[in-house]
Amino acid sequence: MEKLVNLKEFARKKEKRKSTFLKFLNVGSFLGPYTISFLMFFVFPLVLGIIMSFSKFKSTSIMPSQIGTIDNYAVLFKDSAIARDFWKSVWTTFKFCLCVVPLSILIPLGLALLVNTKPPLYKFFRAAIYLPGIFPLTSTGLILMRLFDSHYGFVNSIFNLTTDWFGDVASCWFIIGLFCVWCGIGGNFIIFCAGLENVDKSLYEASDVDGCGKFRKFLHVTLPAIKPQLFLNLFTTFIGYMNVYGQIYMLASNNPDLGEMKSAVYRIQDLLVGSNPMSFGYAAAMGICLGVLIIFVSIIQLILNKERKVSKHAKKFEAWKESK
Amino acid sequence: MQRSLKRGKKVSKVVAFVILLLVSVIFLLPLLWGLFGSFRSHDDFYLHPESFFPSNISAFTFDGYAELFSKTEYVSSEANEYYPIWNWLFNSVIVAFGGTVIYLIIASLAAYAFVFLDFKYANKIFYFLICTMTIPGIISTTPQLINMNLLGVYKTLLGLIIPSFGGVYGVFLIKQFFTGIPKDLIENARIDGASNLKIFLKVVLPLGKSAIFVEGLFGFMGAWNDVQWAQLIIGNAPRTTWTLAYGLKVISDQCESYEAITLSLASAIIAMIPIFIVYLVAQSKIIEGVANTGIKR
Amino acid sequence: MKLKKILAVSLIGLCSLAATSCNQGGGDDQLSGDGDITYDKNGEVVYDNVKLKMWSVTTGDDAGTQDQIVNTFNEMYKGLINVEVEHYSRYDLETLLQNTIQFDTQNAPDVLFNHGSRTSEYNARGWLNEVDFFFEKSKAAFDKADFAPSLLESVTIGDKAYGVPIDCHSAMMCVRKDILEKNNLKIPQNYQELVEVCDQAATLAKNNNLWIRGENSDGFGAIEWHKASTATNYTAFPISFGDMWVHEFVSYTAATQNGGKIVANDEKPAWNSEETAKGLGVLRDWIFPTSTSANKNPMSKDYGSSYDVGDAPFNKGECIFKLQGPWAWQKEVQTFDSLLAKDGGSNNITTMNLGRMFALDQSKDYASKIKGEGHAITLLKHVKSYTKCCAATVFMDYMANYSGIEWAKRGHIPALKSVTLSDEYKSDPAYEKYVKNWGSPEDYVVVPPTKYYSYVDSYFKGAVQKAISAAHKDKNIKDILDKEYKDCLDYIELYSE
Repeated sequence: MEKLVNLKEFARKKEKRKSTFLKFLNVGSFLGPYTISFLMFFVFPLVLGIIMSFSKFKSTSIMPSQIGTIDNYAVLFKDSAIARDFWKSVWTTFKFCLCVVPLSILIPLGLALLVNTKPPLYKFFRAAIYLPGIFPLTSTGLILMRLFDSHYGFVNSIFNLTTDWFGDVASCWFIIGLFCVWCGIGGNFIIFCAGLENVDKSLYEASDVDGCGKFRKFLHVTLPAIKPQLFLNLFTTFIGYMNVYGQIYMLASNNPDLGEMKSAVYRIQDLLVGSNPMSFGYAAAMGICLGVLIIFVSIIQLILNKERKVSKHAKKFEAWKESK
Repeated sequence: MQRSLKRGKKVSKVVAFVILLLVSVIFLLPLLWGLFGSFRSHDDFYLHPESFFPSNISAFTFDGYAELFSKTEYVSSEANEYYPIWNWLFNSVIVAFGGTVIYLIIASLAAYAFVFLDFKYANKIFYFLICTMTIPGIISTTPQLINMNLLGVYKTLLGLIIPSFGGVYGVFLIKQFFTGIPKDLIENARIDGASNLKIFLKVVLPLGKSAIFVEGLFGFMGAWNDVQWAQLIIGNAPRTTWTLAYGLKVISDQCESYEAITLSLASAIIAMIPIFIVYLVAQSKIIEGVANTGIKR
Repeated sequence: MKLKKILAVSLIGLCSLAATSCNQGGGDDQLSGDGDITYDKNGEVVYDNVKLKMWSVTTGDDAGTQDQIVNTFNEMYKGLINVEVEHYSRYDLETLLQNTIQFDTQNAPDVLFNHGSRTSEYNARGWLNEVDFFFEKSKAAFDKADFAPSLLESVTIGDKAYGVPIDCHSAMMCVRKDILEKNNLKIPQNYQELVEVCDQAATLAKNNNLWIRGENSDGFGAIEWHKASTATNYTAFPISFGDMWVHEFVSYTAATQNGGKIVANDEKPAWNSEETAKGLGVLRDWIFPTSTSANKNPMSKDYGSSYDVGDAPFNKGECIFKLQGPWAWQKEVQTFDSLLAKDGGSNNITTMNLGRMFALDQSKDYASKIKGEGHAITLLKHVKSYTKCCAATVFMDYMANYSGIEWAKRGHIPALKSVTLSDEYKSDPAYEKYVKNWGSPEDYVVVPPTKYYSYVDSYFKGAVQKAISAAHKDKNIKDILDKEYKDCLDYIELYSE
């Protein structure tokens, strides 16, 4: 009797082991290729980057000459030009985000609401608004520069202006913002279009019966329904613009107050490109600091998103989505 | 009541139409100005800055394009003005298309594992992956270069392709879509004795193909338009190894004087044309696809 | 637990990997002996089809001319030495060189044709080798006394040359002779005369008395004389802070001509001086005249961040002078040959150098100096074959001596005094016509060697742009310079090992 139990136990164990093995094999073969490439092309360089931030460099090699120092970070928290420039640029980037991120959310949201009323030619409008974003920034930036040239630009001669758009700090930020809206809102716009498309029509009808005004309808029906999209856009747009570089590099490089125009990544790039390898450690440390900041703000966003009470309509919407 | 509602809807449609028309025109005008500008002689920009089109027939020129396409053959005495555009186009297609296809395979396999093979910590690992998206890419630029060198793909097209394989975004996107596939279908197939590979190929892929298509197009655009990484990897490789976007950036850099505006605009337009064609062909698919997944790049 | 172990192991692995590879490059191996050199019975180095790879910073038409010069060398030394040239834009060259030397040394260039002022900085990165040692072996000529002093100094570190200067170049002025003559104005020879001419032209225009002509859209033919518009100020010499000619050459020249120094003896910047501020003041007054400035009328509109600001007004006759790179002179000639074809063509314009054009005090000997940049050929450190290094010196010798008039026609004045005095150089018709207007190599000064070149240069540029921009026109220039100087020094100190 005991033997039999043992045998059963043994068989079960073996079966179990076999299935775990099979499962392991399955997971391994499906996840394996990605795991390997993730480790090789994402984790490895990242770890190397972190090591670099704790390393000292000589001017003769881009490989660290000494590992295990916190000097690079110490410099960033001391009273030095490099620290002042870096934190100023972080603050600049942050202010830029505070201006551009809301625009990159509200403008596409507004446009998506308009498209959602399905006016004639709405498919064409949707395509046209998305179009500028598909091109290389180098091409669209070049066109913008020529278009806003102070003396021979189309804009200034049409409106009879003499504004030097790229030579003044405020107007230069304005053009960069314009660039970000022109070429950057396409994705957000499409996501909002999708979100609005999926809002349960019966909710609108119900609110019509209740005699809701347009604004209240938007606030209580539409907004809760597209909350996932709203959050997604906020999250990715914020991360994207905290890393802003190309747009500024293209449009501001001739500004006499370039120091006021440089974003955090611009400062880091300054230290990396064509420069003394001795600065690589500082650049890496700056990158880590910036990353920590972004993660911090992202976590706040996540918490805010979770904590906000889910409204009744949104719950209904969720339920409906589940059932579909 | 009903009637006034209907009328209200009509009015709002008209308003929407007008605003959208205005916005679309504003969005398209700069592109058109650039397009027409690439056919204008440079002095026309000085003399008639207010003109949207070439101001008269004599200001109309093909010079910019003619110059770009006249230097596609290697002449040793003019090596610095050797623009093998057709090679660049070919390389861009290899990098953008080849790289994207391989990544799609890797990413969709991983997404399948996350959704349909429940293993320990699957969710936690996935959240970890999403968190890594917040890390600024600039940290790993130089290390990635060292990495490519260790792998021996520095100065090759492969060096442009493989770093994208570690990307998180595609896995995230495809996973989101796979999650929407009813689990019953998979269970039924399992009961019928189908292997995971078979389920992946016969059930999941056909259902999730639009997400894969969308991610493919995002990847394609990203790879096609990349200049920064390209400069680091293939900048000092022979010109025939360059990609279109990088080659045209170099030409545009050489147009230092204002007089070269026609050539630089022409090179900008050339860089835009292939991606525009892809967009035209796939436009509806991209937008519908994005609309359905609610994901963007 | 396991995870931690794996992490720890991989970290150690990574560190050791990085540590082992850090020994690449650099290394202070002394030059001695003959290496792989073989001598023939006359004691000459034997070259058997030595291949040299050169990276050159020249692009566009310059590159074409340079390729021709190098091809002639290859013909002369067929079977002995062959030089292959690759051209890179100055924006990309440094990054590409850095990466290639790190990762791909076998494909790195053997010699570099770049701006001489960067020699010291490149040497500090361990990229360069001295050349004196190899000149001795190859017996190629390197007569240091024959080179323009400033150019030779820029490639000399300690008492050793790290390269051979080839040429010097700067911006030049294009002048509308026809407008000057028609209005009875003379061609200015120094700052005071220039200011006078510009003021006169502005006054004439105000009184509707200034005759101009050129490409225009108001219904006049290009050669038809008409009165300049009274609606706006007539500004005879456009400049702007966004213009490359201004921040790369004119600003330095203005500082130099008023006694400013760029680099101090300890290789740190020295442009935070009253003299430099005076020089930049000239440029500020140019656009924003005050009651104390030499010019009463603005000599240029405020073009702000625009570049090549002289091009359009010059062709239209809306200005008399403009800045341009001398390598573009041929193009200017072509433009005017077709524009004013019916009335003298390119004889209506002439070219001048920047000497004396910004000096407040003409009696000083620095008033005639022109800040330029010099090209130099340097030898890279990773070239281990002594034969190759000797071949490189032969090539350098050739380039310095035989680039000659063809290279000078593109605005690159030879660094060797004897070349500029030679018959072959002076008898070329181009010399009389325009090359001589660009001066002789002794007139040019370049930035003295400093291993902090990129910082010295970029912070000075920043100060210049601020000093002549409208946004900062009420600030004291010396204060602007001081502030940039302080930042510059802070960064430099970070890098002193």
